[in-house]
Amino acid sequence: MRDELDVLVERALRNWAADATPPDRVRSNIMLGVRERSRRGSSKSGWVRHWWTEALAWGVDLLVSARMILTPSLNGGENGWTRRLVMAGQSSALYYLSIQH
Amino acid sequence: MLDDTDLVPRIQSGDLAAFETLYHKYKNELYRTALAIARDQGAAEELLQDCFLRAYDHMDSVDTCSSLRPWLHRIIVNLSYNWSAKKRLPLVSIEEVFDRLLSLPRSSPERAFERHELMQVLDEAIRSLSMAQRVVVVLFYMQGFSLVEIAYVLDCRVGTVKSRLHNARKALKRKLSADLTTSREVAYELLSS
Repeated sequence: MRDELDVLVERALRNWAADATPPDRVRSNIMLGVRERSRRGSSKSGWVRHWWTEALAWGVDLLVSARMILTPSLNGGENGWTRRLVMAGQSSALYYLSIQH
Repeated sequence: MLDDTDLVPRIQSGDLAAFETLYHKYKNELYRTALAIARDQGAAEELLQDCFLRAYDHMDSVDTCSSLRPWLHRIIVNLSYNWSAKKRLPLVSIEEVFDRLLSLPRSSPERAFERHELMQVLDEAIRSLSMAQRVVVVLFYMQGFSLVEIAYVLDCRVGTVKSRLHNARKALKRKLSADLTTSREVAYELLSS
């Protein structure tokens, strides 16, 4: 239950700080800090996005390569496997070796 | 003025204008809270600045469906606690408050001056409270928070808030009623104004 003390304290506090308002430099400092954080945040998220794209590309390459190597060939035999390995590695060296062999 | 539930998602998606709107919405009451606790204008400015920068840093963890008012007060009160721990806020002694109460003019015709004196004595009585009690008094009387909201701001139980407020009122009453009979009339005048 509120008595006169409550009202007095409430009034004393509210009167005391009634006109208090922060100077504009506080707003400027805050917005400066926020812009700096925002800039740092976006460059950080950009780096993370780039890293994930790279990792994803590598993962897809790996899966495709594994599929090409492990899928049984209709031709079978050494040449078929060599060819798949060459295609998976995207290198022609082994292919030439296998032809010469 | 935009609602917090509209502002928060915009701030979370990087809208700085929305953050500035949030600042203008709460700057005065947060500044006054900091000022009432710290009693130092420079410190209050610094606390307000740190409060909004911290709020920006943690905006992603905010519940978009509720008001930011208690959350922002929670930040500024925590910062004020840290600040006062570093600064070791000087408390006004009870004796000093009594001295001032006794020095109030008993039959002065200058009511305005007496009224000003009463407010000053009240102010000093509030300053003489412990930090924990003062924070509860500021949040309850000045900002009009409920006990449940204060419990959230201070991260404690409602029972703790009740007991702090009870002790603060007891301390204030003890300090003020010691010789407040001198200013009874002024007090009533103030209450009815």
